[in-house]
Order: sequence, then C-alpha cells, then structure tokens
Amino acid sequence: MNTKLVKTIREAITLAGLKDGMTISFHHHLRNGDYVLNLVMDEIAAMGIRDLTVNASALFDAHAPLLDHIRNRVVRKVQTNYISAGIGRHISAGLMDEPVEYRTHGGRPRDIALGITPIDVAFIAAPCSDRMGNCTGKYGRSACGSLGYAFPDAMYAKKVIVITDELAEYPLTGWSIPEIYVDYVVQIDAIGDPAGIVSGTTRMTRNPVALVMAHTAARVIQNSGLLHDGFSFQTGAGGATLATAMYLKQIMLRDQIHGSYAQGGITGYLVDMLNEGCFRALLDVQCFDLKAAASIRDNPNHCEVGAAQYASAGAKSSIMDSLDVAVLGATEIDTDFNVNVHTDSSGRIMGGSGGHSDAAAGSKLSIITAPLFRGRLPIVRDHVNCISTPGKDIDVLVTQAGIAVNPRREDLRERLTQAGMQVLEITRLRALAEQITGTPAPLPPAGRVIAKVIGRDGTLLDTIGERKEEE
Amino acid sequence: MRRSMLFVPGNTPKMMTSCGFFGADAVIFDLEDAVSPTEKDAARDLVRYAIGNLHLCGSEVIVRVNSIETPMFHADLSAIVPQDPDLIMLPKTCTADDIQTLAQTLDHLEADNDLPTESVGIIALIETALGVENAFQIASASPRVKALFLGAEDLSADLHCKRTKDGFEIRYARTRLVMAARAAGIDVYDTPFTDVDDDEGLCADAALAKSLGFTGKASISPRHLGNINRCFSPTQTEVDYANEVLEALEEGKRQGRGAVALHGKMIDAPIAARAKRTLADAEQILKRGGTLA
Amino acid sequence: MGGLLHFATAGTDESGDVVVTVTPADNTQIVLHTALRAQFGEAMKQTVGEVLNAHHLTALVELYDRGALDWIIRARLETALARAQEGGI
Repeated sequence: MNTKLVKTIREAITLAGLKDGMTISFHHHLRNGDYVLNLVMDEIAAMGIRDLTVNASALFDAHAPLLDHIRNRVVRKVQTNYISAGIGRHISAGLMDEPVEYRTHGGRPRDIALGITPIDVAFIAAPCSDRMGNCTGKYGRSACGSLGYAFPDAMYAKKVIVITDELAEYPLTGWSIPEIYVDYVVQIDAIGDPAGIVSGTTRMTRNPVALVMAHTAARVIQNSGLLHDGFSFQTGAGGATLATAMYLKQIMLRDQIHGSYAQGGITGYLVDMLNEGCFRALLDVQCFDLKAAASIRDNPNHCEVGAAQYASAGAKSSIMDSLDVAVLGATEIDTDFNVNVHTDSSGRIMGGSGGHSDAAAGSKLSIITAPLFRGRLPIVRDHVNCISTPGKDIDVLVTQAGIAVNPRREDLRERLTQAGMQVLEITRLRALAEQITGTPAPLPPAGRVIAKVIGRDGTLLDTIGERKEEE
Repeated sequence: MRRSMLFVPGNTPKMMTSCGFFGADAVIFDLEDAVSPTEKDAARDLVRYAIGNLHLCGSEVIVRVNSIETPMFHADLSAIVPQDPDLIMLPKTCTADDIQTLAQTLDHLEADNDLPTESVGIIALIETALGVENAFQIASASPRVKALFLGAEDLSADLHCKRTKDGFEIRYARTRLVMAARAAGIDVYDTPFTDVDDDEGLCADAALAKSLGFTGKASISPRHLGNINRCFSPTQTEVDYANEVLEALEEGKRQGRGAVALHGKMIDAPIAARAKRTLADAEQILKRGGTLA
Repeated sequence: MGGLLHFATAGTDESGDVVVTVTPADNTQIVLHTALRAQFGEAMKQTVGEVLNAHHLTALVELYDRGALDWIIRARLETALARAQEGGI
C-alpha cells in the first residue's frame, strides 16, 4: 500500500532534509491551543539543528517555549503577522539579534508566492488527514474549521509535512489541502488542546463603551450608501467590532437587505447572519468558535478560502478587492488616521497587523472603532508608536465621543452629515482624549530596531525599537 | 429636557469616567444604596472630584445623597453642594418637612460657598407609602423641587407586595405621582426597569410610563438609555404637527382671527403650549446629536 | 510635620482605579507601582505632593495604580488621608 506515513516527527524532519539556516513554517489555526509548533521545535533542537528562520502566520502565548529556542540559537529569525503580548514583550526587550519581520495576512502569501520568503519545510497541523496527505480542519477531535492560512505553505514549500491526530481512511473526501503538495504524514496523540483551539461560543461584549461605538459604527455603515443588496462585510471577533455586526444585523433584517458575503475570521454570530439571510456566503480563512467550525463543515455556502485568495495583493485578485465595509480595531490612532495594532502605548509588542491593513486597503469603507482612552492612556494621538496601517487606507474613526472622517473622504463626510450624524475633526477627538487623561510624557527614545513592519505591498512601513523591561 | 437618567454607583471610577458618553440626559451619582457602608467616605470624595472633572457631554448632574436620618446626610451635602450639581436627589422623601430640611441646608451651603440662591435643585425620590400619600405637598414644598421620582423597589417592600415586571402593584403610585407633580407644575420620573437584558420589557414599561404622563425614566444600565430616549422623544409626526399648529396660529394672528382651527379642530391654549414644548424638546435633542423617535 | 495617626488605605484594584496607602512619616516619600511610569510617573508624584501640601501633611504614600485618572488619584488619596487621621479602618 502506497503511503506517506512516517512514524515520528523526527523521521519526517530527517527525510525532509532540514539543515542549519533553513526556513520552516507554521500556521495558527489551532491558536492558543496549538501543540505542533512546540513539538516540532523541541525535536529540531534535540537534533542539533540551528540558525533556523521560523515563518509562522501568528505566534500565541502558548508558543512561549520558542523563546528558549531563540536563546539557544536554534532559531535565528522570525517572520510572522501577529505576536501576542506574552511573547512580544521578550522580543521588545531585545531577545533577538535579527529584527522580527512582520507581514500582513495578505503580504505573507504574496511574499511566499513571489519567492521573497521561500520555505524549506512547512509543518501543517491538520485535525484530519489520510495517509497520502489529503487533509482538513473540518473533522477530528481537534477540528478547527478553516485551514486557509496554511494553503500557501503547502503550495510553495519545498517539503511539506502534515501532522495529524486523526488518520482517516484514504481517500479523505472534502479535503482542504490535497495530497499533491504533501511529502510526509505523521500521526501523533494530540495536535492541540481543543479548549484553546476554538472557544465554545464567542461572547458578545457587554462593555457599554464598546456598545456605544458599535451602535455608531452600524449607523455609519447604514448611511454610507453601501448597505444595499449585495453588500459585503468584514469585522473582528470581539469587542466593538463584533458588536457592530449585532447592530448591523438588526438593520439588515429590518430593512430586508440581502448581502453577498461576510469574510475573514468567522464567528458564530456571522453564521447566524448567514442562516438568517443577511448574507449569501461566508468566506472563511479562520474559524473562531465551535459554531463556525460546525458550519464550515455542514453548510456549502460557508466556504474555506486560502490566505492568498483572502488578502494577497500579489494575487490577480483577492476577496478584499470586492469588499464593501471593514470594521477594525486599534491600540492607537493618530490625527493622520495612521493606526497602530502592533504595540501598546509603551511601545512594546502585543499584536500585529493580521488582516488589518489588507482589509483597510481593500474595502470601500474602513471603519476603526477605538475608545478615546483606555485607563489613563489616550488612544487618539498626535503620533502612533508604530504605523501598522497607513492613514490613507482608513476612512472613519468611531469613538464613544463621536466620529471623525478622513479628509480624503469629503464625499463620505457629506453623506453622514446629511443623514444627521455629527462629524467631528479628529484633532478635536485627540484634544478631548488628552483633556480626560492628561498629556502623557513622551516615551524615552527606543533602542535598536527589533522588528520591521512590512506593508502588504512589500514596502517597509515602520520599525519597532527595543524597550527594556522596567524594574 | 430630561428623558433619561442613568444611575452611576458613586465608588466605581471606571463607570464614572465613561458615564457621560452613553446619551443619558442626566447622570445620577449614587452615594446611597449602591455604596457599601464602609465606603461611604470614599464615594463622597470620588463624586466630589468627579463633578468638576468628568467629561459629561452635556448630561445634567444629579447626586443621590444618603437620607435625612443618616449621619451621612450632612457630610454628603457639605462635600457635594460646593461642586454646584444641578440637582440633589433626596431618598425616602416622606413629607414636605423633609424637603424643608434639605432646602434649609442647601440655603446655608449655597451662602457659604458663594453660590447663587437656589442654584441647586431638588428631585424628591418617593419610595414609601407615606411619600406617595404626601406627593402633592412634597412637590409644592419648595421652588427648589424640580421633579418627583418614583422608586418602586423600596415602595413595593413598604407596601408588603412583590415587585413584578408588569408593575400592577405600582399602578396607583405612578398615577398618583404624575397627578401630584403636574398639579404642582413640575416634572415626574419613572422607576428603573431592572431586567438589563429584556429590551422588549423595557420598551413596554417605558411606553406605559409615557402614556401615564411621566416626563422620562431612570435606568440602572447604559444599555437601556437608547430605548428610553426614543420612547420619550417626540416623533417626527408630532414635530410636523407642532409646526402646523404654530403656523396656523401665526396665520390666524395675521388675519386678526381670535379662534383658529387646524384640520377642523380648534387650537386652544393647551394645544398651542404643547406644540411649543414639543418643538423645544426636539430642538434640544437634535442639538445634543440625538434623533427623534 | 507629620499629622497622620496611623496607616490607612483607600481605593480598589479594579482597572481605572488605584489603591493608595498612607503611613505616618516625618518626611514625605512617594512610591509608585504603575505600568505608566514613563508616561505619568512624574505627574503622579506631583499630584500626591500637591494634595499633601494642601492638607499640610507628610506621609509615606504608595500608589498601586491600575490606570486611574488624576482626579481619581486625588480623591483616593484624600480618603486615605482622612482615614489615617480618624478611626481609620
């Protein structure tokens, strides 16, 4: 019987010919429940391989053991689209000699396809696979739904290793990644902790400030001239962005508006909107909860999309190009509408672009929901600590104290004003934020560059400097 | 123009810093039931600072002090009145004497702090059977009294009855308070609807209050404010009608006619007054960035 | 100088609040526990100094800050100082 099954991760790594200085890749659909990245890195370290580049679509706190592999020079360089705070603060403190290369969810597949960031060995954590490597995230006890971010890795890496904890009989039907790309398949006990992979249900926020912003954001969409039959939409998975979907749903059902699709990371809330007729399709690159994971398995109108089709600026087109409205968050925004989602207000890494700048650039209307202040920190600033998404791609800022429209979008300002919405100058919102919080002292200058922020078109957008830990 | 009032516990910095952004026509900083006995001093200090420092987007400031028989009553007023709040809410108002006591204290504190006389108003919280029975005397006890406020939770306890969602047990108190307040020429506010997640129930409860003649309704959750504001705002139809009424009166005046009719109905003084009030309310709502119902 | 009778505290560890502790001392000393030292450390010290001076008090003051606005720090400090001069808690 023909098979690509090998017994252990180590055997697969050996067969793939991994050597010092090569590049390996991972995808993040198992999110904070992922075991695979740590298992593979431990094995590589034990084999004595060094100086690797790790290209991971995102890094979560569950991947903290990676920090030791960096210290021990198993890993020399990191390329990623998102780093959570627990790992980010070590990077900010100067852990790595080489700067982290940040890309966007669209920039990563672009640069992989163009050969700018070639991958030697891709590791694909698959909740279900057959012996030849036809695999998917839709089935299995670690089911995560979409495997979209792993598509470019499978297509372009020199060697592809599928790691699964549920081996299906050949042929697995309904695969996400077909066997044509796969070199080896390894079965292990568990690829992840189901509790950390998808949340049971995505909770709608009860934070009244987030709800005020969401209500306003929905009114902006309603009055934008874009909310009619065929409408397409992307929003986030929590806080004010998800709550915007809640208010938008009320409007769409009341006015009987039938949208075409919602896209991006998918929550159960968007599944409800699909099932109630607000949209004809969901285009899903990442499932956030059990309802989304079940829906992508059972509902043919809930489709998996790969990272390139989701967001790549290098593709002939992506679904971003047909997107009407994107609702996005920010850790800071400045008076030129530049948005920071990479660092906190102290300049320390705690996130990344993900699909933020792709959606901002692609959509006809990009809305940032951000509170004027968090704790004592003003969020609307003269300058952001890091430009994650350039202001030219942002159309509207929604805060709890009112909205501001990018001067580039005079047409939109007129529309909103005519609809009875009060539009403020962003400088007024900045002044109000500091009136409430007081003016923070400027941060001391940052140290050497510890991360580069590369825009979706491959140009360098900004750099992030070293910030030693306090006390 | 006070359609909605939001209760904000007096010892919660995070809620306080945000409470101006929820669209409440007034915020009520609570020093009474929402503050534990050991934190009364802390809440008093916090609310004292909050009044001068918070960004309230035009919301009026009301402070619910502790009731007259408590030792906190004078301490609360001494701390709060110098900050010149719009209104003091007096809990457990039972008699006109209670109002006189508060009014005299306010007289002294205003004088001591160089505030104009009667710059601080009173909103009487009626939450006992005795208070309901004395409602008109309370409403007309002092020119400082700007409104009556029904507190149904304490009242139902005092009545030895269960507080229910449809509120049959407070029907008499509601109509009695509206009657008393209107007879005294002041506003009257309805008790909060306490199920934060029941929007339908809230809307029905607010609609009932409006139909009985209440000026507005209080809330314990920011999430209720939108529906309350909508319920107590004039509708576009009402605004259009009010404009028609005033135009017809103008036209009548030009033609020197005493009696003016609109759509075959006589416009008398109350109709004219109501039309003016509707337009004034609508103007204020729009000025604050709100919308008509 | 001095003026405090005993140790006292005010405030909570909820976000947006601050726990202030005051201890009798002849010379004022201010200790900050805050994630916002770079942005607001100096402002916090100045605020504490102003409040102590206004009351003609000296004390060892510690702030365990959870992102409190300036007026919240002032209110919490005044509560703690009043408690330290009375029965306290």
